[in-house]
Amino acid sequence: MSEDRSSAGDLVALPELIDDDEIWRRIPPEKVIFDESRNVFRPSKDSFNDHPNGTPMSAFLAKVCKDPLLAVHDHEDFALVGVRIKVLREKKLEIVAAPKPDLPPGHVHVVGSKTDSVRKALAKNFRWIIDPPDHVKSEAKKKALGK
Amino acid sequence: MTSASLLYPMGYDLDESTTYADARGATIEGSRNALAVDVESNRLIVRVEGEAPKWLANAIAQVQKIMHLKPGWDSYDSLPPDPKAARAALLYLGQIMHEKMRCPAIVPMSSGNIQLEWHASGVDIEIEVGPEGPVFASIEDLNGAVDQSGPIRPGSKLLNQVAGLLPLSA
Repeated sequence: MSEDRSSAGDLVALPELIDDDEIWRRIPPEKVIFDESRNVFRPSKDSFNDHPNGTPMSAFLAKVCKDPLLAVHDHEDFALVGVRIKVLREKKLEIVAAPKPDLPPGHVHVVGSKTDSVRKALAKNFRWIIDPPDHVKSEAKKKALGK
Repeated sequence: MTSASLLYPMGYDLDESTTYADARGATIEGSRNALAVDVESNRLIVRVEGEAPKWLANAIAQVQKIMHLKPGWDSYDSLPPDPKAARAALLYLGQIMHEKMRCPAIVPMSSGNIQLEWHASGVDIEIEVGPEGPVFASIEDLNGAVDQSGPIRPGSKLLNQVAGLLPLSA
């Protein structure tokens, strides 16, 4: 079991995680891409990076957050992806609890180097928890086809 | 001459009749139409000599959309797209694109840089462009024949490979 201190300084424990557990990460409409070669919509690899200020990548632990709609609340047109803990572990990424009073439960940081190959792996080993809206998909497809 | 004045921070002026030998930004010449892109007073000005290639209008439309993004647009403290990175991205496209090539998806990055992405014809090509030009490239063939990525340095072979792999218009 991993532990971390929250922003309030309380010792926070993560539940025990198995490989099939997931983190959820919001995807803004601008980072939804259409991959014509694979005929799929997926997030751009830049969706899986640390904050520009250096704070590790934010996400929600699915088994704690529980409601996907909470994770995208107030974020119009955002989609939500799930990435298995197994994928993160294979890429040497660690989950650290990072609860904040103004965020839904289960907020975590994904700590570790987000190299190009790591970000690519996350961008290809995910599932949509909340699909991008149809108009976002349509726009992404139009862009991908150069139209 | 085609021209349009668009709301801040993006504007464009496609000039099909004038030569801009003294363009303040870099000017690209050769077998392709000369393309100049300047950042002036919070506007991005695009000028092209001769007939504007089809991909350019598409690229400008995409850049125009993302330049309106505000800080934090990705919900994770992202920076707004850097107009200089947008300028560099359009100039780079001017260097590598031919008339029949497919315009890439122009994707804003959380850092303020711009990513050009092609995922077609069995090849993934991703070029990260910063204010000074391309900074990172990734080329991957679905069959595993090509899988290269790395930072861009002057004279980078990786960057030269890109032009030969770009998909044609759909």
